[in-house]
Amino acid sequence: MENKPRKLYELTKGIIKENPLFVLLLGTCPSLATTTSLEGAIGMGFLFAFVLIGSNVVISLLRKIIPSQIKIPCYIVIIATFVTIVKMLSEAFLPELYSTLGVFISLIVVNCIVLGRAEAFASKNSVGASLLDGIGMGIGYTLALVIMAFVREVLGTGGLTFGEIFTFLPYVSFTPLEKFAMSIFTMPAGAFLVLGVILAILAYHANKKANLERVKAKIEKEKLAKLASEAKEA
Amino acid sequence: MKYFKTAIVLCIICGLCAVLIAFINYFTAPIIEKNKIEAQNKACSEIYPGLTYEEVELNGADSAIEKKWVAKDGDTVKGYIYSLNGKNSYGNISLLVGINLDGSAEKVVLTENTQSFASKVKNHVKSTYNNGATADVDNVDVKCGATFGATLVKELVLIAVNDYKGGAN
Repeated sequence: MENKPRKLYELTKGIIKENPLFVLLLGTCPSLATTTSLEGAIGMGFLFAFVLIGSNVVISLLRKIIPSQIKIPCYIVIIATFVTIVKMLSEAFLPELYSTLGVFISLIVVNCIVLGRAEAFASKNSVGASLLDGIGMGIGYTLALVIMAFVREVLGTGGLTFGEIFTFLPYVSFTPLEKFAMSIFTMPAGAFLVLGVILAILAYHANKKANLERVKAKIEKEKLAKLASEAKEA
Repeated sequence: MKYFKTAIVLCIICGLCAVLIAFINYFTAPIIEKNKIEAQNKACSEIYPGLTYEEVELNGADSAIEKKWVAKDGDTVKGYIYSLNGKNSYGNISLLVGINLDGSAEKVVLTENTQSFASKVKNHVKSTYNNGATADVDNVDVKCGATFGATLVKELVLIAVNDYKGGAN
């Protein structure tokens, strides 16, 4: 009975509560570089999720075999294998995505999230739990990239374009705000701005309840002090 | 014994990973090669559209020249396309240069550009080599400012022109 909510927690924690980009602030470098277009961000998210899920499952499977002295080299070899596979598959079947993301596909090897989940979760938990953790974290990271890319592409180009990277889709360009486009949002500075604003909004929401309670407690305290002083005067 | 076991585990994991990569490579390598040829044909057709391209053997050519094609309209030769690659401390540039039979450059297409002023180099290629003002490439000036990338482009174009002229002579 207790197992089901735990499984659901493993799956969903990475999406909002422990979102790797917006909450744990991991993997920020590729997120700033690959979010200039929505299609690129979706592609990066899927490739990343594939590597994360694959490495989580394999590391969890081998957790009792790998000696503790060579944990990190083994993890790196496994992660690098998945990254190489992803690289070859994207170069073969999605060449436009491969040339758009360029070196950032190879850099997934050193992404803190993948190595972090391997060390902190997959090496200590069952295959099923590691799989769910990988799926949840993968979705969470993809979602974060998509949000950033959506804001940057809309503000930077004045709309959205599809079919440029995923060439199997029909080419559609919807740019009604082209006149108001601010090209800074397609540059690295724009990426920092967008990430900063999103983090500020999330921090506001996360602290909203605590702040409200603090304010209520302060008002209550002031009321009590006023009542006490009135009683004293009377 | 402990170190032996550690080494064995690491070797087995590396071996399995290598086998997996080799297996995926076996299936994807021909597709990747096909994609590269398609992309090259697409770039060639940007220079001489609607023609057929036959690869020519390189004999004693400059090391910057990677490949060379002859662009034909039926049996009539229309020009030559050179694939060149050059690098300096600012990055890499790969480009295709179309050379007409009179030795002028028909068009330059950038296929890879990792220069730090990549967009400037791209604009320079567009404005200098692709607007019909390139009849005499030997004397063409760098027009977008003294960026090293633009100088590299100019050098590569001149290598192609000189190779064609050397071959023609």
